[in-house]
Amino acid sequence: MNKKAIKLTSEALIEAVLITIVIIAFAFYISSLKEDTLIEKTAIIRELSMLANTVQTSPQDVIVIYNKNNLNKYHFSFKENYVQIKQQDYATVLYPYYTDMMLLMMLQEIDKKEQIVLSSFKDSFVVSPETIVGFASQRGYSFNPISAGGNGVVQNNGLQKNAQSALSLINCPLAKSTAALTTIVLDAGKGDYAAMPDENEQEIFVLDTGAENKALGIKEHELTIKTAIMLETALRLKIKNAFIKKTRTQNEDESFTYYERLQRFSADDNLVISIRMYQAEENENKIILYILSGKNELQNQKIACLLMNELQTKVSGLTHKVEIRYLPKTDDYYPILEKNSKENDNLAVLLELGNINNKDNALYSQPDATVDAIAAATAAYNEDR
Amino acid sequence: MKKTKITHFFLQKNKKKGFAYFQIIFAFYRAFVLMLVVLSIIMITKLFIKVTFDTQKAEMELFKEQLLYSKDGISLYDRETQLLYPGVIDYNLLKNKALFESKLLQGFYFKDKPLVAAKLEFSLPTEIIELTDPTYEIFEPIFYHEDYFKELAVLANTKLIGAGGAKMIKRETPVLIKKIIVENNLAVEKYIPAYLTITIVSSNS
Repeated sequence: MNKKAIKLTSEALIEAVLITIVIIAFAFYISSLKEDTLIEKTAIIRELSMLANTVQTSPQDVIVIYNKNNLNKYHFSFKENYVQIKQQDYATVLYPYYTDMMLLMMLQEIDKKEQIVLSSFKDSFVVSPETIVGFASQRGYSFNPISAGGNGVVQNNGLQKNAQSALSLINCPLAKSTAALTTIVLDAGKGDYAAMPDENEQEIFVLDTGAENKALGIKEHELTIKTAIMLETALRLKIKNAFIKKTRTQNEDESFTYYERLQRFSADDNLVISIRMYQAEENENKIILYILSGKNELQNQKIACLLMNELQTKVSGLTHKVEIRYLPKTDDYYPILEKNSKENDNLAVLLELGNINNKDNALYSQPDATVDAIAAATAAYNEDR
Repeated sequence: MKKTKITHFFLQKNKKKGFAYFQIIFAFYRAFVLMLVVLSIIMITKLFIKVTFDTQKAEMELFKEQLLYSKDGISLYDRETQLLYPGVIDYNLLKNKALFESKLLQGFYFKDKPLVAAKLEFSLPTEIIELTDPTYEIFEPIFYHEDYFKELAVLANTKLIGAGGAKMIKRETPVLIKKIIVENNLAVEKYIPAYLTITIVSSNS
């Protein structure tokens, strides 16, 4: 072989080697991409973000099951408006999504599951690993989810915990208060008379005392009126120009029926605060605030939210976070809220201030703190105009 | 002393200077072709590898739909019956800019920087804009994250690409404005046809 041929061959070889090196380096790069899960995680969170946004907006009930390959490698959470994916030894990848603050949120953390179920029903948004089609509750929404199989309540303590913490996502509406509170009505729950037939089928009027704790010797209708009286004084001190009135006194006679109670609300009122208690197992002590959807919803949400924050801060011994819920039509006090919120165009909120069976309930064990919290929230609403 | 001959073709000296220059130029050409081949391999391979996801446009289009069809968007929604009236806007809400904007901020709440910002402009069709027509009204534009919108709109109009820029979409849709008026002491629902222009901006970064 002559020198020129050797030279040309060696040059071609050098070039071939160079190209081979580049191809090998690139092959390694591609191989590393295959191992890298960042791209997959980025794609998943973006999809989940858009999916979460869309599911929340659905006007009617909707259930979306998101199941992709490799979901079971990751830990998902939907905390603080971010879809987050965690994987051991890797940095967390996150992407924002919006929350509809009008909805109740139940955002479960999903750890290495095959699927993520996003559902929206009855003014709630749920993220869970299993299909949830409703909540078991007699009044409003509780956070005992019913599985799709309909085989009863799913027992999952983690779910309960997440449901409670998720409620703190409801922030106070940014809207300014619409008008000054000139007339505030305090509606002490129960204590009205209902006509019932006695043994001789004679009509007698029976006092509705509401929930009762025989061990402590306390009744709902007594505690609610006591609180209303204390609240009346507290509000007079806090909101000087407002007229404060009560729908019932301690000395009502048989003429005070539920119908009569309804007549004592008027279109001139600004705000109605209805005070009630509930009865449940002894170890539970919750405060639940009910409002109505529809007319005045935003302002009702605002005052409920202010109340929630104050009660949460000032009342101790609660076993759950203070919750805001929409009052269902089946509730016996629905007509009261409906009349005020919709017919009379007032603000109306119903407060269930503790479980009467729990000795630490807000009205029995700490009435001063409870009254102070309600008065402070009402004054805050009045001032934020 | 033994003479060392420079054999590399780049540096090879030749008695014929013209031929040496040709060899150098040819070497550059070969290097250029080599680079071209390598780059082609990289580009062709990258064509089949997806390492980025651009969902910006989809997010903007989706947000426009969500504004219109969400239960807490701009259209009327009855929570009792779970019925949404797409494209029907409450007149009272429209006239109360602060309330409308706070409703949108609550309905689409981002804890930190929002993904998108929007501007809603309502205008009545020209055929009913007559001085004699009592329905003629001018509505203030409604914003979703007003400051952020104004900031991004400037960037979007510069058409800058890259992380520092922003994108904008503009969509127009017919809507009905529901107004309750009193006629002969009776409250009557009146539906005013109008156009809604939705402008949505989103940051590239």
